[in-house]
Amino acid sequence: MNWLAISPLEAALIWSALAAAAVWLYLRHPRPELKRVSTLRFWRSIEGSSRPRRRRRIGEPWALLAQVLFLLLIVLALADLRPAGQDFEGRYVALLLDSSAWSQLRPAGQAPWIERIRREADNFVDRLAPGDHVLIVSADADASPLVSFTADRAAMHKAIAAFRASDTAADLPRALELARAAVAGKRRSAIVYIGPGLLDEPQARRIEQFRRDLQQAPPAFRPQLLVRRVGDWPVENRGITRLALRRDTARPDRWRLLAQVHNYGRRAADTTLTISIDGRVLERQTLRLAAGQGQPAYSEFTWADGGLLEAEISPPDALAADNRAVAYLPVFRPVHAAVFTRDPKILKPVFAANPYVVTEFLPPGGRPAAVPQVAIYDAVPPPPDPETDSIVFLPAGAAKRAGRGQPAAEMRLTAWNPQHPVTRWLRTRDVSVTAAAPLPTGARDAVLAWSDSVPLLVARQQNGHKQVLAAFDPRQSNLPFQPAFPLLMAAAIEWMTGAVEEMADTGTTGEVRVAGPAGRVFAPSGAEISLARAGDQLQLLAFQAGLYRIAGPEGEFKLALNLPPLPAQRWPVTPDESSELQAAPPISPARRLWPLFVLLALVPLWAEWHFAGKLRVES
Amino acid sequence: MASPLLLDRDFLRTLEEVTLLCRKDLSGTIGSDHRSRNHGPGLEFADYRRYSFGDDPRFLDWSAYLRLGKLFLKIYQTEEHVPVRVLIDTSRSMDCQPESGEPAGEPKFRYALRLAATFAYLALLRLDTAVVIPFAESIRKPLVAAGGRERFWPVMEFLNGLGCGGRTDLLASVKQFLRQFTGKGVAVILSDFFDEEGAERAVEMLRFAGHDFVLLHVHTPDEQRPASYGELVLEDAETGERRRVHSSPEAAAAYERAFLEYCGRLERLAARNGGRYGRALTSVPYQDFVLRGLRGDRVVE
Repeated sequence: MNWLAISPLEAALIWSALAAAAVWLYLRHPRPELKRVSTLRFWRSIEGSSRPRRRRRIGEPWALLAQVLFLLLIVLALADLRPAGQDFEGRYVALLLDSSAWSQLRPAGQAPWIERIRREADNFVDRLAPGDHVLIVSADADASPLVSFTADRAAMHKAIAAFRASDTAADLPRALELARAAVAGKRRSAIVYIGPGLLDEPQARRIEQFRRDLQQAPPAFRPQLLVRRVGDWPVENRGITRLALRRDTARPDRWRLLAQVHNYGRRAADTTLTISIDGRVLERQTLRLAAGQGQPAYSEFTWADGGLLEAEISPPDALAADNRAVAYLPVFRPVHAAVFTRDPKILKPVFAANPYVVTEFLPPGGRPAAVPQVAIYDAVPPPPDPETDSIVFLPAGAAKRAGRGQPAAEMRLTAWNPQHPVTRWLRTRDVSVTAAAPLPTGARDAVLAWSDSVPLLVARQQNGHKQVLAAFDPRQSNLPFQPAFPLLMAAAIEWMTGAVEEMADTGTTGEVRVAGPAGRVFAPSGAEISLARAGDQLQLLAFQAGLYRIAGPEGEFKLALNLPPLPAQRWPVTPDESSELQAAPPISPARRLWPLFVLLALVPLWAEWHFAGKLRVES
Repeated sequence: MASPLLLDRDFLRTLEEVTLLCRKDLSGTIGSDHRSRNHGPGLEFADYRRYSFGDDPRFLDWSAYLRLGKLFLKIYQTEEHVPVRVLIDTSRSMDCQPESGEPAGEPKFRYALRLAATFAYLALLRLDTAVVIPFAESIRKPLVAAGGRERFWPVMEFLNGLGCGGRTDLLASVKQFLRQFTGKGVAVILSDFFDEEGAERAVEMLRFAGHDFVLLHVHTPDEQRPASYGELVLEDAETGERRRVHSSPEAAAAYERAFLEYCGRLERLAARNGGRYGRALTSVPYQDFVLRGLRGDRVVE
């Protein structure tokens, strides 16, 4: 039997509820009537036969039975019960609509592809049989259902009308797997893709595998795969596929730029690449792009201030979304360090080689021109309560006083702390120290280097300031002559002031992973998007190209996401995939039983009226 | 408020042919139309007896003496005033209205008032003294009417002015009645006799006092057989006691049996004590009850 209007369970629940209500009404006794009588003596004398009933009794069980039967027949009529084998259960169709960036394409003089996809989808839905259930999935980098399986045409058309294109490349195999999972176990199912059908090489291989997997499914449960390709290929389109920037290691305000431009068309084309920052044009390059080929464009420019860098190609073509790419340039701020020393010749070469640090050498007790971010005390006793972050090399005498034991004649550095950011890159063991004493370490201090079990370097955080303490004078050690020494100093300054951003690389839309903790992520449109954390990384799905704001506990940073290289290989459609949807089994006109149930229901209705009326007359 | 006309004019005219029967020899004031079993100065010849010394020679039958040569004295039946005392129950139980839709819509108390008026009229019609005595827990101020039917109007007014209240205490009322009215007479008690203490003692006292009494049991059909079925909360009109009952046809039949058994007990009680008992069902028109029912019970003729 087929239950179309409501399921058997729903019908049973409705009938149970109505029957329970009827029984309750039959059992319900009105409040006893108060009656004034001349005497109660005779009532007392017949107490046995006039005792009030403790258990409620149905006054007229036949009337109740008739009413329950009437309700059952009415519910069956509402359920639209039909004889078995005469009805069509409907097919289950997973409809995949390509919402990748390619669907934004608008060929000259034609409608955008997304409009054609919508029209094709509407036509497909209209041709379905009434009982067919359709799942509509938006296929882009993700595969998200627009509407779950439904036979409601209005809901289908509404979902198709609300379908929008994204700025991502479609992951069609992923969408197909989702569709197959959705129709798994269903007879007469189909997976229908509507879109441009553009793949890259890995996707093409996965689709081949998908086809083979489909063939291995039992025939009764094997979904029919149909592909409705939209638009002609190739199209005349050029797009920026990559934009990357890096600082010059010697000049932090100098940037090197790489832009990759691809020609998807069948003809070679001249394209002008314009680089601008915050609307100020820096450079224009003309590129000669071969058909179906990409070409890199390099550029260098000096720009100390931060800003939004845009790369744009012209003339406009069929797809506007990949004609522009953005990158966010961080502001360069060198670290100001003051070195208090009597003999600057040891540390001067170290800092001279570091363009990210501006140093001021001062004698002990000297006053720097500005408040430094880092103070370095080279064999100079530090102030008892430092006001800034500091690196302290204890003088030999101070080292003697700081330790409890006698200074060792020579100590060899035996281990570095690989967990701490200051020493995580240091491996050298060929370091010896004389006139050093063990440093007193607190519970919150981190030992950076040991000589056996004696700490030689300690990182400390107190009163909001960071400090690196060395238990030796650099002149009493061979460390300044080691390659590790500039690295140690740079890492210590970076630990204190934060990393200098050397890159301004850009990401691509789709699934994005970003290192570091983050609280909230805002899309270019300003809308907050959901994210997931995986360890020290956060994952998010970016469907829109542009500048994303990522707010975290240590402030906000910006992430530029541009369109990825779009797949440019057409889906090779087999004849089966281009065929029509298998016809629905012929629907014999189902005999509707509800009029019969309504007529039958009149009998118990009359019986209920008859029995209840009889009871009233007796009363 | 009851209508002043408790008895209509046609019925009053009919009552002129009805006589209240006495089953006892009651000594009253001579001069009534009411025949007595006492012999004495009267108009109607009763018997002869032999003359003895001291008899009034005016009553000697001289014709018999001439024929038989013996002195016979003519005996006449005395016609005495017999006081008719109507005790009407005015307790709250008399005020219970019959259920709507019943055949007789006559309220029980009004029915009793009509009967009281009937008995008073019958008494006045025969030049007897009619005394109307309301009672409940005790007797209330009575009305004494004598001197013929012209005095009936005050009786009507008195009856119309009566209302119901209090509980029935028949024994106390009868005791008080016997103390207040020492002379023998006809005592008609109009009541539903729903006194929890029963009527035995009261009836026996009436018998000991020598009254010719009539117990008229006034009740509604609903009091004989309940007409309402289902769960009911019943409230005793006199005591205020409430009782939850389930009324059904079976229970109603049992109730009727108990009621009729009670009526039978009352009837036997009256008979045992030389009195009469009549059951006045309010569904029966009072004229029919007076002319047929009371006649059947040998209360009137």
